[in-house]
Amino acid sequence: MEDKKIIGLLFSRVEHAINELSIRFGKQLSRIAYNILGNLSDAEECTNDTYLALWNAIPPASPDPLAPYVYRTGRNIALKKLEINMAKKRNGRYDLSLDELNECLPGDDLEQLIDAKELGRAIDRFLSGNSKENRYIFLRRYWFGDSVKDIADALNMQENAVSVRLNRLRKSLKDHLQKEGYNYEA
Amino acid sequence: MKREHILTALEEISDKHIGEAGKSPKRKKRALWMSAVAAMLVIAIGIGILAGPMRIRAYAVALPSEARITKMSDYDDYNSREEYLEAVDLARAESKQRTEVSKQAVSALSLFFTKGTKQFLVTDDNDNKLWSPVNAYIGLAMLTELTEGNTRKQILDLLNAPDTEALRRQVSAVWESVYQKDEHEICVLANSLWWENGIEYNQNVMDALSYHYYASVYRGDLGSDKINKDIANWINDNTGNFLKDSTANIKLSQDIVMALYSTLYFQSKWTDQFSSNANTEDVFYMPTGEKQVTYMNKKQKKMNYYWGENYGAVCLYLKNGCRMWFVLPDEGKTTKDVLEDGTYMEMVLTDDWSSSNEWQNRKYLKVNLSVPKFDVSSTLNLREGLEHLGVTDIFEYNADFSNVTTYEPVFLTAVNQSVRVEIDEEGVKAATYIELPAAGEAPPPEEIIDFVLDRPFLFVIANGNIPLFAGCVNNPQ
Repeated sequence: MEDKKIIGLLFSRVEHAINELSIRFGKQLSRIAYNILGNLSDAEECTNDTYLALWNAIPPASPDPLAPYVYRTGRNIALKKLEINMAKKRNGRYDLSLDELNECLPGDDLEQLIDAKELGRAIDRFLSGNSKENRYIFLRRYWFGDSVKDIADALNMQENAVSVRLNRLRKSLKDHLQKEGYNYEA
Repeated sequence: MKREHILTALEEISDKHIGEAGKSPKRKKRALWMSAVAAMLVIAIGIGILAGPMRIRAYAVALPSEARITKMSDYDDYNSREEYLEAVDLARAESKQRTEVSKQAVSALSLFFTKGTKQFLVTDDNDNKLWSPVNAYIGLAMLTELTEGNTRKQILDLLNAPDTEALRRQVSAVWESVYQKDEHEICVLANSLWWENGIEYNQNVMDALSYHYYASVYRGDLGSDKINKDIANWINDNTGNFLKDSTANIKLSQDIVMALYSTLYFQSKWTDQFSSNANTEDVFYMPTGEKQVTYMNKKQKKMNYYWGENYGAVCLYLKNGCRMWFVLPDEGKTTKDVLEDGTYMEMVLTDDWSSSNEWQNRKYLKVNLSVPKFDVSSTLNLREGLEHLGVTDIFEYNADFSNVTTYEPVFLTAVNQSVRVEIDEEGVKAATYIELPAAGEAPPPEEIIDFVLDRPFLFVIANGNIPLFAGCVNNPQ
């Protein structure tokens, strides 16, 4: 079903909208949640919470495009759940992705939230300058939390090739950020 | 950098990039294998008079449900060994239950498969004839969701199902039993319904098709070039472009209000491949003459040899667990004799190598096997055959499609099934061929037997006891 029609169903408060959300986005939402939480039952709970959150948020929200909004909602809910799990010493595999990304990001001088947002916009500019395939690999790894194997399968590539590409992308991101004035000395 | 700052930074990635990465990428193509099979069932439904088509683009009314098959993740993806073992137990229990329902379904369907194969493959012409029993079964089962009254009852009777609920369970079990998709081993069923714009429909029925039959439902201007192309693309995507020659000709007429497409795409390698060095060029005796063909050969291959009153048979194993049966009529008998007798299908439906349920006439022998390489295809209109099997109302002007629409009149105009089967293998050596020993109810007397498919023969590709494809090869091409 088209995204606009799903939003129409949500505005009309038709419960069938949840089914349509599930058909259209269920697979991707489950995957994001599982990547972050590393646990099937938590991921399922998280995906259901996401449908409820979308039901409560739309209306008044009327996101266009819908897909990124749905993915963000799902990811944020999974991250919140991860925080709770971490307090109980249950780490997800997404932390490994974040550790990997942290290798190419600037260090301690970035303390303010506003700086983090600016850094995000710089990463977005870096992605705009890359090929579609590179953006896919980077975001699937660090935003969606996919494993290297998942990405390799999706692109029909060897896992080694994906790892090498990620390594180059991190190095290239570091160069890009340095050019934009980020300090790596500290 | 602190974790929360990294997450905040990632939140700033633009919608455009997130949306792009959320879509499935185009996969780079990899080389295909050696044995490819595909089938397409087309059910076209028309009306008496149709108002002018509306200019509305194709639109997804319902999309296929996700496969209800638990896919095991890697061991490392589980938090603990206990959690992993729990998941293994769950997957095993699920598989066992599915196999049980699927076996019940096969038992219920054996009559349909046997009667259907006889009905659709017995002809007086000398063309190759192929059909996919499981593909036709699922296509017909989908029609029960759209129909009511006697129209529905006739189909349920043919499929030996008491009601639509039972049929749904059977179809889901069969679908999930045969479904397989990885890099080399593929067995994928797909269904789609195409609906004419402007004709109202019951959304619940479309949702049921999506959930129970993993079907896609699209709406558009049937008969338009755009929809013809959309349909061809859908079929090509679901059959690995294997039926491209057939789909190039898809042209729905303007009076069609719904069209149902069911596809089955299958590919797998032999567990024991032929050696290209053993290939030979020799004569194949067609009903209308002779032709030179390439034979793939195996010398003194230890395997089970099966026989019945009119035929001998062997089966070769495929890496995905399926088997391909080759059934050769005895000297003086024809494929028609074997099809009309029908016991060979009973053999396919009951012989189970993994249990004690063995076909009575079988013996473990050394076989000198010669199989012609072939790439055959056919398109059958199943309508006449279905009418002979008791499904008649659906083709009548007053067919009852009231479960899906109040629009009248709606009736079935055609049930076409296109199938293509290709067996392609490397091989070397010339095999001497000797005529088969005279058959009968006695077991073959020799411990070494020559099994040379050098005249019209039958084949069945089966997943367990579910026949995916069956065919009569008169002319290996």
